[in-house]
Amino acid sequence: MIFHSLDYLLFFIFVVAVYWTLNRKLQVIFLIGMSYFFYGYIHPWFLYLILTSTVVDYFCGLSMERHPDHKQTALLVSVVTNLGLLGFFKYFGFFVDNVSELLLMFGLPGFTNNLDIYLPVGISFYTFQTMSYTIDIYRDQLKPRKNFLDFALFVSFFPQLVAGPIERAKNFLPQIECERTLTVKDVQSGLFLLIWGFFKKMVIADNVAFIANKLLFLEETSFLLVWVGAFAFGVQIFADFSAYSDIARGSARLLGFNLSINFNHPYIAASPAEYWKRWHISLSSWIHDYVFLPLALSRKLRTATAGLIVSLFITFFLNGLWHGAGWNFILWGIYHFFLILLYGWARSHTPESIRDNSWLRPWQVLLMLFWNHISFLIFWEWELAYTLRNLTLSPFANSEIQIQTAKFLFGQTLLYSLPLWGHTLFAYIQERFFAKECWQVTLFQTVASMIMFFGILVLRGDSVDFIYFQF
Amino acid sequence: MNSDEILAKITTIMRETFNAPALVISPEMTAKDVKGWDSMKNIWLIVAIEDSFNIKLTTSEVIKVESISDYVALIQDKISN
Repeated sequence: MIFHSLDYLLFFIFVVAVYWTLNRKLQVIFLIGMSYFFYGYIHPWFLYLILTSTVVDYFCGLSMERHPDHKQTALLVSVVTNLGLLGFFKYFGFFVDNVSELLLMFGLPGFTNNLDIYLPVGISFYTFQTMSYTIDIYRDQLKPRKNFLDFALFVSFFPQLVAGPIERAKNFLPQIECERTLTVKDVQSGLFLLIWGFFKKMVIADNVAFIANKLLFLEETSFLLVWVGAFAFGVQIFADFSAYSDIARGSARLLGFNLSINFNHPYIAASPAEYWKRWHISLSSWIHDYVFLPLALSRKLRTATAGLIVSLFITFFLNGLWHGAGWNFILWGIYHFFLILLYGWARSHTPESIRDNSWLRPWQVLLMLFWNHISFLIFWEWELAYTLRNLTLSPFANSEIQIQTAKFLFGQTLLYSLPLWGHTLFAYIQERFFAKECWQVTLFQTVASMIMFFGILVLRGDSVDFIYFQF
Repeated sequence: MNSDEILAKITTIMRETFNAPALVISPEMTAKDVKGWDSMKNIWLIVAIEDSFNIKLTTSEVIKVESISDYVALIQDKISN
Protein backbone atom coordinates (compact mmCIF):
# COMPACT_ATOMS: atom_id res chain seq x y z
CA MET A 1 0.00 0.00 0.00
CA ILE A 2 1.41 3.39 -0.86
CA PHE A 3 1.07 6.41 1.41
CA HIS A 4 -0.27 8.91 -1.13
CA SER A 5 -3.39 6.93 -1.97
CA LEU A 6 -7.01 6.90 -0.88
CA ASP A 7 -6.46 3.28 0.23
CA TYR A 8 -3.90 4.39 2.80
CA LEU A 9 -6.05 7.25 4.03
CA LEU A 10 -9.01 4.94 4.67
CA PHE A 11 -6.75 2.24 6.11
CA PHE A 12 -5.07 4.68 8.48
CA ILE A 13 -8.33 6.26 9.71
CA PHE A 14 -9.63 2.74 10.45
CA VAL A 15 -6.40 1.78 12.26
CA VAL A 16 -6.36 4.91 14.45
CA ALA A 17 -10.07 4.60 15.29
CA VAL A 18 -9.80 0.97 16.43
CA TYR A 19 -6.30 1.22 17.95
CA TRP A 20 -7.16 3.72 20.68
CA THR A 21 -10.08 1.59 21.94
CA LEU A 22 -7.73 -1.31 22.77
CA ASN A 23 -5.39 -2.03 25.69
CA ARG A 24 -1.60 -2.22 25.16
CA LYS A 25 -1.43 -5.96 24.46
CA LEU A 26 -4.31 -5.87 22.00
CA GLN A 27 -2.84 -2.73 20.38
CA VAL A 28 0.35 -4.69 19.64
CA ILE A 29 -1.56 -7.64 18.15
CA PHE A 30 -3.80 -5.30 16.15
CA LEU A 31 -0.82 -3.33 14.80
CA ILE A 32 0.98 -6.53 13.75
CA GLY A 33 -2.15 -7.66 11.91
CA MET A 34 -2.52 -4.27 10.22
CA SER A 35 1.19 -4.12 9.36
CA TYR A 36 1.04 -7.55 7.74
CA PHE A 37 -2.07 -6.47 5.84
CA PHE A 38 -0.29 -3.25 4.75
CA TYR A 39 2.76 -5.18 3.52
CA GLY A 40 0.82 -8.13 2.09
CA TYR A 41 -1.38 -5.66 0.19
CA ILE A 42 1.60 -5.02 -2.11
CA HIS A 43 2.22 -8.76 -2.58
CA PRO A 44 1.20 -11.53 -0.15
CA TRP A 45 4.39 -13.60 -0.57
CA PHE A 46 6.44 -10.70 0.87
CA LEU A 47 5.03 -11.80 4.23
CA TYR A 48 7.09 -15.03 4.19
CA LEU A 49 10.27 -12.95 3.99
CA ILE A 50 9.47 -10.62 6.85
CA LEU A 51 8.26 -13.56 8.94
CA THR A 52 11.52 -15.43 8.28
CA SER A 53 13.56 -12.40 9.33
CA THR A 54 11.42 -11.95 12.46
CA VAL A 55 11.49 -15.59 13.61
CA VAL A 56 15.22 -16.07 12.94
CA ASP A 57 16.26 -12.88 14.75
CA TYR A 58 13.92 -13.51 17.68
CA PHE A 59 15.47 -16.93 18.32
CA CYS A 60 19.03 -15.71 17.62
CA GLY A 61 18.52 -12.99 20.26
CA LEU A 62 17.27 -15.50 22.85
CA SER A 63 19.99 -17.98 21.96
CA MET A 64 22.71 -15.40 22.63
CA GLU A 65 21.45 -14.96 26.17
CA ARG A 66 20.94 -18.67 26.87
CA HIS A 67 24.17 -19.86 25.27
CA PRO A 68 26.74 -17.07 25.74
CA ASP A 69 29.52 -19.41 24.54
CA HIS A 70 27.85 -19.63 21.13
CA LYS A 71 26.98 -15.96 20.79
CA GLN A 72 29.02 -15.60 17.65
CA THR A 73 27.22 -18.52 15.95
CA ALA A 74 23.81 -16.98 16.69
CA LEU A 75 24.96 -13.61 15.35
CA LEU A 76 26.30 -15.32 12.24
CA VAL A 77 22.95 -17.06 11.65
CA SER A 78 21.14 -13.73 11.96
CA VAL A 79 23.50 -11.80 9.68
CA VAL A 80 23.71 -14.59 7.06
CA THR A 81 19.92 -14.97 6.98
CA ASN A 82 19.25 -11.25 6.58
CA LEU A 83 22.07 -10.57 4.16
CA GLY A 84 21.17 -13.80 2.35
CA LEU A 85 17.60 -12.59 1.79
CA LEU A 86 18.85 -9.17 0.77
CA GLY A 87 21.59 -10.60 -1.46
CA PHE A 88 19.31 -13.02 -3.27
CA PHE A 89 16.35 -10.74 -3.86
CA LYS A 90 18.27 -7.53 -4.51
CA TYR A 91 21.67 -8.42 -5.91
CA PHE A 92 21.47 -11.89 -7.48
CA GLY A 93 20.60 -10.63 -10.98
CA PHE A 94 23.27 -7.91 -10.83
CA PHE A 95 25.89 -10.44 -9.71
CA VAL A 96 25.02 -12.99 -12.40
CA ASP A 97 24.97 -10.35 -15.17
CA ASN A 98 28.39 -8.99 -14.13
CA VAL A 99 29.99 -12.44 -13.83
CA SER A 100 28.63 -13.30 -17.27
CA GLU A 101 30.03 -10.10 -18.76
CA LEU A 102 33.40 -10.76 -17.13
CA LEU A 103 33.49 -14.26 -18.65
CA LEU A 104 32.65 -12.85 -22.07
CA MET A 105 35.44 -10.30 -21.70
CA PHE A 106 37.95 -13.14 -21.31
CA GLY A 107 36.51 -14.98 -24.31
CA LEU A 108 34.72 -17.56 -22.17
CA PRO A 109 31.04 -18.45 -22.73
CA GLY A 110 28.68 -16.23 -20.73
CA PHE A 111 25.22 -17.20 -19.54
CA THR A 112 21.81 -15.62 -19.37
CA ASN A 113 20.03 -14.84 -16.14
CA ASN A 114 16.66 -16.50 -16.60
CA LEU A 115 15.50 -15.83 -13.06
CA ASP A 116 13.38 -12.70 -13.02
CA ILE A 117 13.54 -11.89 -9.31
CA TYR A 118 11.02 -9.38 -8.05
CA LEU A 119 12.51 -7.00 -5.45
CA PRO A 120 10.38 -7.04 -2.30
CA VAL A 121 9.98 -3.40 -1.25
CA GLY A 122 11.33 -2.47 2.13
CA ILE A 123 13.66 -5.49 2.40
CA SER A 124 16.74 -3.22 2.64
CA PHE A 125 15.13 -1.38 5.53
CA TYR A 126 13.70 -4.09 7.76
CA THR A 127 16.67 -6.47 7.36
CA PHE A 128 18.95 -3.66 8.61
CA GLN A 129 16.55 -2.89 11.43
CA THR A 130 16.42 -6.50 12.69
CA MET A 131 20.18 -6.92 12.33
CA SER A 132 20.70 -3.94 14.64
CA TYR A 133 18.72 -5.93 17.25
CA THR A 134 20.95 -9.01 17.17
CA ILE A 135 24.19 -7.03 16.83
CA ASP A 136 23.26 -4.88 19.85
CA ILE A 137 22.56 -8.02 21.90
CA TYR A 138 25.89 -9.44 20.77
CA ARG A 139 27.59 -6.22 21.91
CA ASP A 140 25.80 -6.39 25.30
CA GLN A 141 23.97 -3.15 24.57
CA LEU A 142 20.52 -4.71 24.59
CA LYS A 143 18.64 -7.48 26.39
CA PRO A 144 16.86 -9.98 24.11
CA ARG A 145 13.09 -9.78 24.17
CA LYS A 146 11.08 -12.76 25.36
CA ASN A 147 7.76 -11.44 24.08
CA PHE A 148 7.59 -12.53 20.45
CA LEU A 149 4.70 -10.20 19.62
CA ASP A 150 6.53 -7.06 20.81
CA PHE A 151 9.50 -8.08 18.70
CA ALA A 152 7.32 -8.91 15.67
CA LEU A 153 5.85 -5.40 15.81
CA PHE A 154 9.34 -3.88 16.04
CA VAL A 155 10.19 -5.57 12.73
CA SER A 156 6.92 -4.95 10.91
CA PHE A 157 5.55 -1.59 12.19
CA PHE A 158 3.79 -0.40 9.01
CA PRO A 159 4.53 3.38 9.02
CA GLN A 160 8.29 2.84 8.65
CA LEU A 161 8.35 -0.69 7.22
CA VAL A 162 8.82 0.11 3.55
CA ALA A 163 11.27 3.05 3.51
CA GLY A 164 12.36 3.79 7.05
CA PRO A 165 13.46 5.54 9.19
CA ILE A 166 15.50 2.46 10.15
CA GLU A 167 14.77 2.33 13.86
CA ARG A 168 17.13 0.98 16.49
CA ALA A 169 15.81 -1.65 18.87
CA LYS A 170 16.99 0.25 21.95
CA ASN A 171 14.93 3.30 20.93
CA PHE A 172 11.85 1.65 19.50
CA LEU A 173 11.26 -1.56 21.50
CA PRO A 174 10.80 0.29 24.83
CA GLN A 175 8.07 2.37 23.14
CA ILE A 176 6.26 -0.83 22.10
CA GLU A 177 6.59 -2.26 25.60
CA CYS A 178 5.07 0.65 27.51
CA GLU A 179 1.57 2.14 27.67
CA ARG A 180 1.09 4.76 24.99
CA THR A 181 -0.75 8.03 25.31
CA LEU A 182 -1.98 10.60 22.83
CA THR A 183 -1.81 14.27 23.78
CA VAL A 184 -3.20 17.28 21.93
CA LYS A 185 0.41 18.17 21.10
CA ASP A 186 0.96 14.72 19.54
CA VAL A 187 -2.15 15.15 17.39
CA GLN A 188 -1.05 18.64 16.29
CA SER A 189 2.50 17.66 15.43
CA GLY A 190 1.43 14.34 13.90
CA LEU A 191 -1.09 15.98 11.60
CA PHE A 192 1.40 18.68 10.62
CA LEU A 193 4.00 16.05 9.73
CA LEU A 194 1.41 14.16 7.67
CA ILE A 195 0.24 17.17 5.70
CA TRP A 196 3.78 18.48 5.19
CA GLY A 197 4.80 15.03 3.98
CA PHE A 198 1.86 14.71 1.57
CA PHE A 199 2.53 18.25 0.28
CA LYS A 200 6.21 17.53 -0.32
CA LYS A 201 5.39 14.29 -2.13
CA MET A 202 2.32 15.24 -4.16
CA VAL A 203 3.08 18.88 -4.96
CA ILE A 204 6.86 19.26 -4.92
CA ALA A 205 8.35 15.82 -5.69
CA ASP A 206 5.78 14.63 -8.23
CA ASN A 207 5.80 17.90 -10.19
CA VAL A 208 9.57 18.28 -10.16
CA ALA A 209 9.96 14.57 -11.09
CA PHE A 210 8.30 15.43 -14.39
CA ILE A 211 10.92 18.14 -15.07
CA ALA A 212 13.86 15.95 -13.98
CA ASN A 213 12.69 13.02 -16.11
CA LYS A 214 12.14 15.21 -19.16
CA LEU A 215 15.57 16.83 -18.91
CA LEU A 216 17.71 13.88 -17.91
CA PHE A 217 16.21 11.51 -20.49
CA LEU A 218 17.01 13.86 -23.41
CA GLU A 219 19.17 12.20 -26.04
CA GLU A 220 20.33 15.51 -27.50
CA THR A 221 21.14 17.69 -24.56
CA SER A 222 23.34 20.54 -23.39
CA PHE A 223 25.24 21.66 -20.32
CA LEU A 224 22.44 23.91 -19.04
CA LEU A 225 19.70 21.34 -19.56
CA VAL A 226 21.67 18.62 -17.75
CA TRP A 227 22.48 20.85 -14.77
CA VAL A 228 18.90 22.10 -14.45
CA GLY A 229 17.92 18.40 -14.63
CA ALA A 230 20.35 17.66 -11.79
CA PHE A 231 18.89 20.54 -9.78
CA ALA A 232 15.36 19.20 -10.36
CA PHE A 233 16.42 15.68 -9.36
CA GLY A 234 18.07 17.03 -6.19
CA VAL A 235 14.82 18.75 -5.23
CA GLN A 236 12.79 15.68 -6.17
CA ILE A 237 14.82 13.10 -4.24
CA PHE A 238 14.93 15.19 -1.07
CA ALA A 239 11.23 16.13 -1.22
CA ASP A 240 10.26 12.55 -2.06
CA PHE A 241 12.31 10.73 0.53
CA SER A 242 11.88 13.20 3.37
CA ALA A 243 8.13 13.17 2.59
CA TYR A 244 8.05 9.43 3.20
CA SER A 245 9.88 9.87 6.50
CA ASP A 246 7.54 12.66 7.60
CA ILE A 247 4.40 10.68 6.71
CA ALA A 248 5.89 7.72 8.60
CA ARG A 249 6.68 9.88 11.63
CA GLY A 250 3.29 11.61 11.51
CA SER A 251 1.41 8.29 11.24
CA ALA A 252 3.47 6.80 14.07
CA ARG A 253 2.89 9.83 16.28
CA LEU A 254 -0.88 9.50 15.94
CA LEU A 255 -0.41 5.94 17.23
CA GLY A 256 1.64 7.19 20.20
CA PHE A 257 5.14 6.43 18.86
CA ASN A 258 8.10 8.71 18.24
CA LEU A 259 10.20 7.71 15.26
CA SER A 260 13.67 9.14 14.75
CA ILE A 261 14.38 12.19 12.58
CA ASN A 262 15.74 11.07 9.21
CA PHE A 263 16.54 14.42 7.54
CA ASN A 264 17.85 17.58 9.10
CA HIS A 265 17.96 20.18 6.30
CA PRO A 266 20.72 18.34 4.38
CA TYR A 267 21.21 20.95 1.66
CA ILE A 268 22.60 23.51 4.10
CA ALA A 269 25.52 21.22 4.97
CA ALA A 270 28.89 22.91 4.58
CA SER A 271 30.97 19.72 4.26
CA PRO A 272 30.50 16.05 3.31
CA ALA A 273 30.84 14.98 6.96
CA GLU A 274 28.08 17.39 7.92
CA TYR A 275 25.97 16.27 4.96
CA TRP A 276 26.01 12.65 6.18
CA LYS A 277 24.87 13.82 9.61
CA ARG A 278 21.87 15.49 7.95
CA TRP A 279 20.93 13.16 5.05
CA HIS A 280 19.15 9.82 5.67
CA ILE A 281 20.43 9.93 9.23
CA SER A 282 19.02 6.54 10.23
CA LEU A 283 20.99 4.79 7.45
CA SER A 284 24.23 6.76 7.80
CA SER A 285 24.29 6.26 11.58
CA TRP A 286 23.54 2.54 11.07
CA ILE A 287 26.41 2.19 8.62
CA HIS A 288 28.68 4.20 10.93
CA ASP A 289 27.91 2.05 13.98
CA TYR A 290 27.77 -1.38 12.37
CA VAL A 291 30.18 -1.13 9.42
CA PHE A 292 32.63 1.77 9.70
CA LEU A 293 33.40 1.65 13.42
CA PRO A 294 34.05 -2.10 13.70
CA LEU A 295 36.13 -2.00 10.50
CA ALA A 296 38.20 1.03 11.49
CA LEU A 297 38.76 -0.38 14.98
CA SER A 298 39.51 -3.91 13.83
CA ARG A 299 42.93 -5.20 14.74
CA LYS A 300 44.25 -5.14 11.19
CA LEU A 301 43.05 -1.68 10.22
CA ARG A 302 43.06 0.40 13.39
CA THR A 303 46.54 1.91 13.52
CA ALA A 304 47.56 2.92 10.02
CA THR A 305 46.16 5.81 7.97
CA ALA A 306 45.79 3.32 5.13
CA GLY A 307 43.56 1.23 7.39
CA LEU A 308 41.26 4.17 8.00
CA ILE A 309 41.09 4.92 4.28
CA VAL A 310 40.30 1.26 3.50
CA SER A 311 37.54 1.26 6.16
CA LEU A 312 36.11 4.45 4.74
CA PHE A 313 36.21 3.08 1.19
CA ILE A 314 34.41 -0.16 2.17
CA THR A 315 31.83 1.89 4.11
CA PHE A 316 30.97 4.15 1.18
CA PHE A 317 31.12 1.29 -1.31
CA LEU A 318 28.52 -0.58 0.75
CA ASN A 319 26.49 2.60 1.28
CA GLY A 320 26.29 2.96 -2.50
CA LEU A 321 25.50 -0.73 -3.03
CA TRP A 322 22.74 -0.59 -0.41
CA HIS A 323 20.91 1.87 -2.65
CA GLY A 324 20.63 -0.57 -5.52
CA ALA A 325 22.13 -3.22 -7.69
CA GLY A 326 23.79 -0.92 -10.19
CA TRP A 327 27.25 0.48 -10.87
CA ASN A 328 25.85 4.02 -10.74
CA PHE A 329 25.07 3.56 -7.03
CA ILE A 330 28.49 2.06 -6.33
CA LEU A 331 30.17 4.93 -8.22
CA TRP A 332 28.06 7.41 -6.27
CA GLY A 333 29.30 5.85 -3.02
CA ILE A 334 32.92 5.96 -4.18
CA TYR A 335 32.49 9.60 -5.25
CA HIS A 336 31.36 10.47 -1.71
CA PHE A 337 34.34 8.55 -0.33
CA PHE A 338 36.68 10.79 -2.32
CA LEU A 339 34.79 13.90 -1.20
CA ILE A 340 35.23 12.93 2.46
CA LEU A 341 38.93 12.27 1.91
CA LEU A 342 39.40 15.56 0.05
CA TYR A 343 37.68 17.59 2.76
CA GLY A 344 39.54 15.74 5.54
CA TRP A 345 42.86 16.52 3.85
CA ALA A 346 41.90 20.16 3.11
CA ARG A 347 40.73 20.74 6.68
CA SER A 348 43.95 19.47 8.21
CA HIS A 349 45.91 21.83 5.92
CA THR A 350 43.80 24.93 6.62
CA PRO A 351 44.64 27.31 9.50
CA GLU A 352 42.22 27.11 12.44
CA SER A 353 41.26 30.81 12.08
CA ILE A 354 40.00 30.35 8.52
CA ARG A 355 38.36 26.90 8.41
CA ASP A 356 35.59 27.64 10.93
CA ASN A 357 34.99 31.26 10.00
CA SER A 358 31.21 31.79 9.95
CA TRP A 359 31.48 34.27 7.05
CA LEU A 360 32.77 31.47 4.88
CA ARG A 361 29.85 29.16 5.62
CA PRO A 362 27.48 30.37 2.85
CA TRP A 363 30.23 29.77 0.29
CA GLN A 364 31.00 26.38 1.78
CA VAL A 365 27.28 25.49 1.53
CA LEU A 366 27.20 26.55 -2.12
CA LEU A 367 30.32 24.52 -2.87
CA MET A 368 28.78 21.48 -1.14
CA LEU A 369 25.63 21.94 -3.25
CA PHE A 370 27.82 21.93 -6.36
CA TRP A 371 29.49 18.63 -5.30
CA ASN A 372 26.04 17.24 -4.57
CA HIS A 373 24.78 18.11 -8.04
CA ILE A 374 27.61 16.06 -9.51
CA SER A 375 26.58 13.22 -7.20
CA PHE A 376 22.95 13.51 -8.40
CA LEU A 377 24.10 13.08 -11.99
CA ILE A 378 26.09 9.96 -11.04
CA PHE A 379 23.21 8.55 -8.97
CA TRP A 380 20.56 9.15 -11.62
CA GLU A 381 22.21 7.61 -14.67
CA TRP A 382 22.50 3.82 -15.01
CA GLU A 383 24.72 4.02 -18.10
CA LEU A 384 28.25 5.13 -17.32
CA ALA A 385 28.71 6.48 -20.86
CA TYR A 386 25.85 8.94 -20.33
CA THR A 387 27.22 10.01 -16.95
CA LEU A 388 30.55 10.79 -18.55
CA ARG A 389 28.83 12.66 -21.36
CA ASN A 390 26.73 14.67 -18.88
CA LEU A 391 29.76 15.64 -16.80
CA THR A 392 31.88 16.69 -19.75
CA LEU A 393 29.41 18.88 -21.67
CA SER A 394 30.77 22.27 -22.61
CA PRO A 395 29.18 25.16 -20.66
CA PHE A 396 29.45 27.32 -23.81
CA ALA A 397 27.63 25.09 -26.30
CA ASN A 398 23.95 25.80 -25.62
CA SER A 399 21.57 26.77 -28.41
CA GLU A 400 19.16 29.69 -27.86
CA ILE A 401 16.17 27.36 -27.44
CA GLN A 402 18.12 25.22 -24.93
CA ILE A 403 18.98 28.37 -22.93
CA GLN A 404 15.32 29.47 -22.90
CA THR A 405 14.08 25.98 -21.92
CA ALA A 406 16.69 25.67 -19.18
CA LYS A 407 15.80 29.13 -17.81
CA PHE A 408 12.08 28.33 -17.78
CA LEU A 409 12.44 24.91 -16.14
CA PHE A 410 14.99 26.23 -13.63
CA GLY A 411 12.47 28.91 -12.62
CA GLN A 412 9.72 26.31 -12.26
CA THR A 413 11.90 23.98 -10.17
CA LEU A 414 13.05 26.88 -8.00
CA LEU A 415 9.42 27.86 -7.42
CA TYR A 416 8.45 24.32 -6.42
CA SER A 417 11.47 24.08 -4.12
CA LEU A 418 10.67 27.33 -2.26
CA PRO A 419 8.65 25.58 0.50
CA LEU A 420 11.70 23.38 1.23
CA TRP A 421 13.97 26.41 1.66
CA GLY A 422 11.16 28.16 3.56
CA HIS A 423 10.96 25.20 5.93
CA THR A 424 14.70 25.45 6.61
CA LEU A 425 14.40 29.19 7.21
CA PHE A 426 11.40 28.63 9.50
CA ALA A 427 13.33 26.03 11.52
CA TYR A 428 16.24 28.47 11.86
CA ILE A 429 13.97 31.34 13.01
CA GLN A 430 12.06 29.07 15.37
CA GLU A 431 15.25 27.76 16.97
CA ARG A 432 16.68 31.26 17.41
CA PHE A 433 13.70 33.33 18.46
CA PHE A 434 10.87 31.12 19.72
CA ALA A 435 10.33 28.45 22.35
CA LYS A 436 9.65 24.97 20.97
CA GLU A 437 6.01 25.14 21.99
CA CYS A 438 4.46 28.57 21.71
CA TRP A 439 1.30 29.96 20.17
CA GLN A 440 3.15 31.65 17.31
CA VAL A 441 4.53 28.31 16.10
CA THR A 442 1.14 26.58 16.47
CA LEU A 443 -0.54 29.42 14.56
CA PHE A 444 2.06 29.26 11.81
CA GLN A 445 1.71 25.48 11.51
CA THR A 446 -2.10 25.74 11.35
CA VAL A 447 -2.04 28.39 8.62
CA ALA A 448 0.69 26.54 6.71
CA SER A 449 -1.29 23.27 6.97
CA MET A 450 -4.37 24.92 5.50
CA ILE A 451 -2.36 26.42 2.63
CA MET A 452 -0.69 23.07 1.98
CA PHE A 453 -4.04 21.27 2.03
CA PHE A 454 -5.36 23.54 -0.73
CA GLY A 455 -2.00 23.27 -2.49
CA ILE A 456 -2.41 19.49 -2.63
CA LEU A 457 -5.92 19.85 -4.08
CA VAL A 458 -4.90 22.36 -6.75
CA LEU A 459 -1.25 21.71 -7.58
CA ARG A 460 -0.75 17.95 -7.21
CA GLY A 461 1.34 16.36 -9.94
CA ASP A 462 0.87 12.99 -11.65
CA SER A 463 1.45 10.30 -9.06
CA VAL A 464 4.96 8.84 -9.11
CA ASP A 465 6.20 6.00 -6.86
CA PHE A 466 8.45 6.96 -3.95
CA ILE A 467 12.05 6.79 -5.22
CA TYR A 468 13.27 4.85 -2.20
CA PHE A 469 10.75 2.04 -2.83
CA GLN A 470 13.21 0.66 -5.38
CA PHE A 471 15.90 0.36 -2.71
CA MET B 1 45.25 9.02 37.74
CA ASN B 2 42.26 11.16 38.73
CA SER B 3 39.61 12.52 36.39
CA ASP B 4 41.18 16.01 36.18
CA GLU B 5 44.48 14.55 35.08
CA ILE B 6 42.74 12.37 32.50
CA LEU B 7 40.80 15.40 31.23
CA ALA B 8 44.02 17.42 30.92
CA LYS B 9 45.65 14.61 28.96
CA ILE B 10 42.60 14.25 26.70
CA THR B 11 42.73 18.01 26.03
CA THR B 12 46.33 17.69 24.82
CA ILE B 13 45.43 14.67 22.65
CA MET B 14 42.42 16.45 21.13
CA ARG B 15 44.38 19.61 20.38
CA GLU B 16 46.90 17.53 18.46
CA THR B 17 44.33 15.26 16.77
CA PHE B 18 42.09 18.10 15.62
CA ASN B 19 45.05 20.39 14.85
CA ALA B 20 43.45 23.01 17.11
CA PRO B 21 45.99 24.39 19.63
CA ALA B 22 43.43 26.76 21.19
CA LEU B 23 40.77 24.07 21.79
CA VAL B 24 39.25 24.17 25.27
CA ILE B 25 37.21 21.17 26.34
CA SER B 26 34.88 20.44 29.23
CA PRO B 27 33.42 17.11 30.46
CA GLU B 28 29.90 17.72 29.12
CA MET B 29 31.07 18.45 25.56
CA THR B 30 30.01 16.08 22.76
CA ALA B 31 31.11 15.66 19.14
CA LYS B 32 28.57 18.32 18.16
CA ASP B 33 30.36 20.93 20.27
CA VAL B 34 33.79 20.43 18.75
CA LYS B 35 34.30 21.63 15.18
CA GLY B 36 35.78 18.94 12.98
CA TRP B 37 35.02 16.02 15.33
CA ASP B 38 33.73 13.71 12.62
CA SER B 39 33.84 9.92 12.23
CA MET B 40 37.37 9.90 10.80
CA LYS B 41 38.79 12.18 13.47
CA ASN B 42 37.00 10.07 16.08
CA ILE B 43 39.05 7.04 15.00
CA TRP B 44 42.27 9.10 15.24
CA LEU B 45 41.17 10.20 18.69
CA ILE B 46 40.45 6.64 19.88
CA VAL B 47 43.80 5.38 18.61
CA ALA B 48 45.63 8.36 20.20
CA ILE B 49 43.85 7.75 23.53
CA GLU B 50 44.81 4.06 23.39
CA ASP B 51 48.46 4.88 22.73
CA SER B 52 48.64 7.65 25.28
CA PHE B 53 46.99 5.77 28.16
CA ASN B 54 48.32 2.38 27.07
CA ILE B 55 44.86 0.79 26.99
CA LYS B 56 42.73 -1.01 24.36
CA LEU B 57 39.18 0.10 23.61
CA THR B 58 36.62 -2.14 21.92
CA THR B 59 33.88 -1.14 19.45
CA SER B 60 31.20 -1.97 22.06
CA GLU B 61 32.86 0.39 24.56
CA VAL B 62 33.48 3.20 22.10
CA ILE B 63 29.94 3.15 20.70
CA LYS B 64 28.50 4.03 24.10
CA VAL B 65 30.66 7.14 24.41
CA GLU B 66 28.68 10.32 23.86
CA SER B 67 30.58 12.99 25.77
CA ILE B 68 34.09 13.76 27.02
CA SER B 69 33.03 12.68 30.51
CA ASP B 70 32.13 9.24 29.08
CA TYR B 71 35.70 9.00 27.75
CA VAL B 72 37.09 10.03 31.13
CA ALA B 73 34.98 7.39 32.92
CA LEU B 74 35.90 4.70 30.37
CA ILE B 75 39.63 5.49 30.63
CA GLN B 76 39.48 5.56 34.43
CA ASP B 77 37.74 2.19 34.40
CA LYS B 78 40.30 0.71 31.99
CA ILE B 79 43.30 2.02 33.95
CA SER B 80 41.97 0.74 37.27
CA ASN B 81 41.35 -2.71 35.77
